[in-house]
Amino acid sequence: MTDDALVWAGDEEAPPTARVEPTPLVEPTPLVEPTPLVELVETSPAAHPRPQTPASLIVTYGVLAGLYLIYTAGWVINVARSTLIPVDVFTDLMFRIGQGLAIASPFVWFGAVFLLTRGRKPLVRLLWLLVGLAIVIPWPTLLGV
Amino acid sequence: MNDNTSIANSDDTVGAVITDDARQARDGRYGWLSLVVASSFGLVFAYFLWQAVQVLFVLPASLAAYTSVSVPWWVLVIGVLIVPIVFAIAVFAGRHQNVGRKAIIFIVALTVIAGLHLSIRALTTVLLVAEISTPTT
Repeated sequence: MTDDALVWAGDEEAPPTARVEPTPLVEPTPLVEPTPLVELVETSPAAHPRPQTPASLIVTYGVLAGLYLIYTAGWVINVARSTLIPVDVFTDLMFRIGQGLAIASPFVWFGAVFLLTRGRKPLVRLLWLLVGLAIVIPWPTLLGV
Repeated sequence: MNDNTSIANSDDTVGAVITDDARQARDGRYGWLSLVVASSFGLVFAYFLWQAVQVLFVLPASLAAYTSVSVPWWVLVIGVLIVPIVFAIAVFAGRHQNVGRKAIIFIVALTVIAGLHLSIRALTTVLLVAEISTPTT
């Protein structure tokens, strides 16, 4: 038996160790044509017609939020200073719940105004926030009780 | 009446109640669901009212021993009146809103009345202390 019997014709052109790169059946093509970044930036306002909140309005909201936070601190101080004279379990519990609600009142008002005035004019929202500042004042702390 | 019958016969009762409630809200009325929500909050408001009425009667009786101390009636009366006023404002403000937004309005009203309740108590205390500490002529 000679070695010629183990050799196929044409093995010289394609040695057994050489790998053939697979050729894709279909050339991959991108699904969406890539858009230049500059073009995306320029067209994004048209795609999202929602108006941007002015910086001055955001600052005003921030100032009001700070005032509401001070109010909350005022209520917390009042509750921390208060002494509870025990009456009965239900009355004491309701009193504590009332104090908790009073502490939450500035935060709840602020959040509710933002929820309930969604889609309304910023002036309406500001007006309600100002009304809240007059309503949820921590009077007990201001009165020194 | 016809609305109630349609609700009872509906396959999706909860959905029908919510739909009915939304329709009532569009007309500025309170549907069954909204009435349940309003009544639940009303119970807590009733407790605050009861507390204010109790103070209105108990405090003057307690101060009766001190003839020189005048009762701050106006504060006590405001303390009683403010509870139904705030509740009525909440009911009025939520008449065109869906049940979720009504609940938010009632929660806000509840926190407000809790704060006002404590404020009235504080003001009463301050007035009484000032009255007692002021020398009578």
